[in-house]
Amino acid sequence: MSQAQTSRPQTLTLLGIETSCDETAAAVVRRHADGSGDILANQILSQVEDHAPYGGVVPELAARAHIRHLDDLVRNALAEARLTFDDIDGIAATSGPGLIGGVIVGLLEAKGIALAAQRPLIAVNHLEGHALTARLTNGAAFPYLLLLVSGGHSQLLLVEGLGRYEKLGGTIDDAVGEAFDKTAKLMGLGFPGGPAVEQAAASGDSTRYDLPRPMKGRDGFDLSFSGLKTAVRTHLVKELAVNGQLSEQVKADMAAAFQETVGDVLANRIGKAMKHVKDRLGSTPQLVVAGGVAANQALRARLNTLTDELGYTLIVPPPKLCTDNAVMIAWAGAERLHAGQQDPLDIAPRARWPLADLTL
Amino acid sequence: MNLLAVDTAQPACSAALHMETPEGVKTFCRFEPMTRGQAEALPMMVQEVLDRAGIKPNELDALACTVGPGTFTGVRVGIALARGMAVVLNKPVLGVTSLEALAHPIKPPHNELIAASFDARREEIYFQLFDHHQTPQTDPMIVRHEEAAALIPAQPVILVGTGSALLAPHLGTGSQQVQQLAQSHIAQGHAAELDLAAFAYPQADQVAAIARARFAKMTVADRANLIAPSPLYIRAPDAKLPKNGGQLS
Repeated sequence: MSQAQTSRPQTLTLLGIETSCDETAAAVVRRHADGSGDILANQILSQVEDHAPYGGVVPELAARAHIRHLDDLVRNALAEARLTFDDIDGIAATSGPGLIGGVIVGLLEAKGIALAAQRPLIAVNHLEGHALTARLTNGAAFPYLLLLVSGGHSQLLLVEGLGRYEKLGGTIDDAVGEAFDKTAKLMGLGFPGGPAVEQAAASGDSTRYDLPRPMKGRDGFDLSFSGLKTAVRTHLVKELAVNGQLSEQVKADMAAAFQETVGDVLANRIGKAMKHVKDRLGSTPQLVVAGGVAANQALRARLNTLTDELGYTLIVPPPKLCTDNAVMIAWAGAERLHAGQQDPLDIAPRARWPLADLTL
Repeated sequence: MNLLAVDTAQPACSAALHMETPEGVKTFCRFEPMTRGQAEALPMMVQEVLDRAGIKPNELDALACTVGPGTFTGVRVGIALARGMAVVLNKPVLGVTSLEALAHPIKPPHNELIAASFDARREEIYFQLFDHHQTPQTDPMIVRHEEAAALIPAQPVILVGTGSALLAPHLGTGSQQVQQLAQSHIAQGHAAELDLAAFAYPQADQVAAIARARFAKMTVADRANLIAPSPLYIRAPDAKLPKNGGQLS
């Protein structure tokens, strides 16, 4: 990373590109001198229908879809913002972590744009995009506790400042969203699993199945979901052996039990982290929840109770900005460009890129 | 016309600028074989050829890139960069197949056919046959080694590309690989500027030459209506549908 030599204008307008999983997205965001921001365009094309038959994201299919649609999304984002490339101060693109084939498409398109428009390129960490969204949408002040829960990630972080992330804990196996996907797949509920399980759980009895609470009560803040997934499978195999099929009620009850258990595990770990952070900082910061799993209403209710008990303020950005999007990439790019960062054109795409490795 | 071309379809990376000057077309090229790191190297090569020519991106009139066949990720590196530039510059991008680019520098001394091929693994090659004018005689395709050999008529043929060694054992006499040919060319004082190792892979310089010739035949309207190139994968992605949608049964 190189530092920009010139002083930046007070207002920065960034084009953002996101292609690290199964959403192809482009957005335009403006950051004002006072640190507030406006979303000028938010274009997202979900590939969910392409991947649904496979019950999960197929990396090569995702990369093929990204390159097919990205040009149009960039053009549409500029049109929505009523701007041209002359009005853009920098190009921000997800350069990891994520599915590498997709990351390469978005990063190279961004490099081409930056090169041709002769504008700074800012290589954005996808997770930092999620982590900073609450600053755009809710003006969240540093420091804050961040629960990042999506199909690919499950982490608890202390966000101390731009580029300053301390990982308190994370999943040691599956991500939360992944556990939802796999559970939904076993019962044929559809993909993505989060909304499907939540819907089925609405008419279910969560007490019918007793599922294990991995890591609950243990030291540290790590999470684990693979044992839970195995327990779900074992129960369902038993049901099949006895009844020859999975009735709608069995599915609903299992979905409810699973959702309840995930809520228990998360609430236990987050509650512990909240107490820890409160003691350490001597104040109660905010709890920010980001990632697609933040859209789950049952989980939201649990977190509401928890934050009330511990005197925290709960911040959950709007659902459209919790799942993958390019607004968060443009915004993180704006914050970094404002801080003087721009990246060389030979910056490498990265499949793995932990937040704790970031600097400014 | 100032034309910029890029290639990353095979284990190599190259950028070339063909610049029109009063003294004729000047070429600025960078080429490097590499198995990884194209996403990092290619934009720097583009910047370098522009700098050496002393022109700004907005002085480009057209772009070109290889569309494949090749490694899926590699093909997308070049196309994404070219398309990104074109979105800003609002200039046409022409796609050229990597097999055309490979065949282009071959000038058959005795009207031989040209068989361009790349190793596609799994006992297959990406293959395309051309006549001595580089006019395609087949579509680009993915075929087993012996199937490709069966598609070549019984007449002298020059083999070019990393599939040559795989194809050669299935052919009778009358075929020769480009390495031997190039050596004899260089011995005769022809094509001495060509790097022998470079024959194994497509080169942006060739892509630029092909694209320039094609643009020259287009009307202004044709150029404006050109659709940005998409990857030519030929091979389907490896993705198996789960049995019963992955549901327990």
